[in-house]
Amino acid sequence: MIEARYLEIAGALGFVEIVTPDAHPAPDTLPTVLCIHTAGQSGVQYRHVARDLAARGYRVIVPDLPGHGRSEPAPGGPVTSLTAYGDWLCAVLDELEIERPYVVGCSIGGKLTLELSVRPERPLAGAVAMEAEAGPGRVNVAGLRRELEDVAGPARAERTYLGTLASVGTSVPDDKARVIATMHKREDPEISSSDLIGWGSHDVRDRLHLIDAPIHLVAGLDDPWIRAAEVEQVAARVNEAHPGLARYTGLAGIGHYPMEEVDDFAAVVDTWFRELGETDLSVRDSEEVAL
Amino acid sequence: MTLTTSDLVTVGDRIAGAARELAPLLAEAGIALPGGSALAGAIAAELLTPPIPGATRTGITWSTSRPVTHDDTVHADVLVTRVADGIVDRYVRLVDDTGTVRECGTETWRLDDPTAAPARPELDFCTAAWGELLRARLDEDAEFASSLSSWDGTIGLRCDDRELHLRIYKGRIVDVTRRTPHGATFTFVAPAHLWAEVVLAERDDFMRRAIGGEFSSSGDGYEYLRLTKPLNIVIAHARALAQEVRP
Repeated sequence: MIEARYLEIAGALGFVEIVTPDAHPAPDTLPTVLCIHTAGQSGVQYRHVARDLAARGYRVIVPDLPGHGRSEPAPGGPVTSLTAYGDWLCAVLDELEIERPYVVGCSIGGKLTLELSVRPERPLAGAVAMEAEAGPGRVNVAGLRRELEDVAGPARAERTYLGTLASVGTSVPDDKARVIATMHKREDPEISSSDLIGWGSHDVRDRLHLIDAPIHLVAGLDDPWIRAAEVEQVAARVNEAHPGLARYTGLAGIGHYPMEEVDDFAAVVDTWFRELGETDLSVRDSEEVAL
Repeated sequence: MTLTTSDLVTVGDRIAGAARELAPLLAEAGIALPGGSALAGAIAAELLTPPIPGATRTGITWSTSRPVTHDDTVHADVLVTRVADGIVDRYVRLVDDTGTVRECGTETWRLDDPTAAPARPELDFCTAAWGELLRARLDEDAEFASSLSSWDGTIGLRCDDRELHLRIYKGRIVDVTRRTPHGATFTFVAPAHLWAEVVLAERDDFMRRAIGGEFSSSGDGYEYLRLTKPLNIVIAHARALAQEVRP
């Protein structure tokens, strides 16, 4: 079942999709997953995953960040701070009275997963942070600030379309890649640029020791926006502070959008959640898998 | 990417040599250099790369990002980037055992017999002959014409020191020349080794490389970004052109 909710958060309505198994008598008792989308996009990126995770027995929460999808714009204008998005996501969890969720996010959503993970005052059941390094993302923040003026941002639709195609992994069939790129082209350029400024300035490297829930770092090995070795290093640094708390997976043939590229991603992430739930603090090795 | 070594020297020929530790490599050649010498990498590259048969090395340009030291183990990765007028250019990377490119440069070789390695215009990027072949393909591409149907300007394409201008008016290429009277609106700039790698790659990774910041531009940066789609089409045709003669 899909329930659509508008939540009053910080002076604006935020849209949240809540997906649960059909006819479940007590969906609030199910393990809950918070899914966080990428820059400029919306929860629609999880349309297949949310349905399939619900079928696997989860309650799935898919918000649209402020200014994205069906959420109203942030009252203060486009958000350029991922910390502010982190606060907003915590408010969503408060409004829905959700405690100890699993969190999965990709790109800025991956960074937001890290951001939520370094907030021990709000415990998580586990986290899957995809396509995100702990340090600032590799973008030209000054150029992005220029493009906040529409006159300075030419051909955004084509650049988003072609850039998305180039960011999808080599294992993804062309027709599927084109659907992903066409849907990404729906973005608002001002919102996307603001998100990417957040991507280029967010840094949790000095807070990784605060992570106290099991975490899985994931990198598509075809992702041009990150360095997989840096993502693997995040897991290593978390394990330095808390041995066995973090693991890493490199996805062969996958690019920047695993939840849209990987066939039956829900089955994959379900396995990851179960492994996180069984974390016994024994040290886990890194691995690479072909999907 | 599949770049094989052909019988005749051809753009796209690639050789990856064996890895050697620098100190014994230099010692076996009877070369003694002071520690920290800026020449060590260039000399190692020469020792690690096979010569072109029937040719004489006549020049080299070399640069370094992290100079190699006598303790480093390196191998040379060699790519032929130009064959024209009896001259062969080879791009040489010196790569360490972590896969990091430490030093790189371009060698120039003069063939004793220029006919031994004929030039192929399809692989001689940004020359007038290459430009005419490119124009013939673009003239037949309705998507290219549509993408520029409201545009009046000049696209510059640059490979090392060679520049070619495509003068475009409302979707039609009206001139292909080394320099239009008013110059290029913008110029897409890539070194020869990147041109070779992009046009001969199995998969079109032009945009991936653009995201990674491997190319540059001069002139009007706004127009350069605005013309992402037609530029992507131009590169697709450059790839098709190259792969006509080097599948």
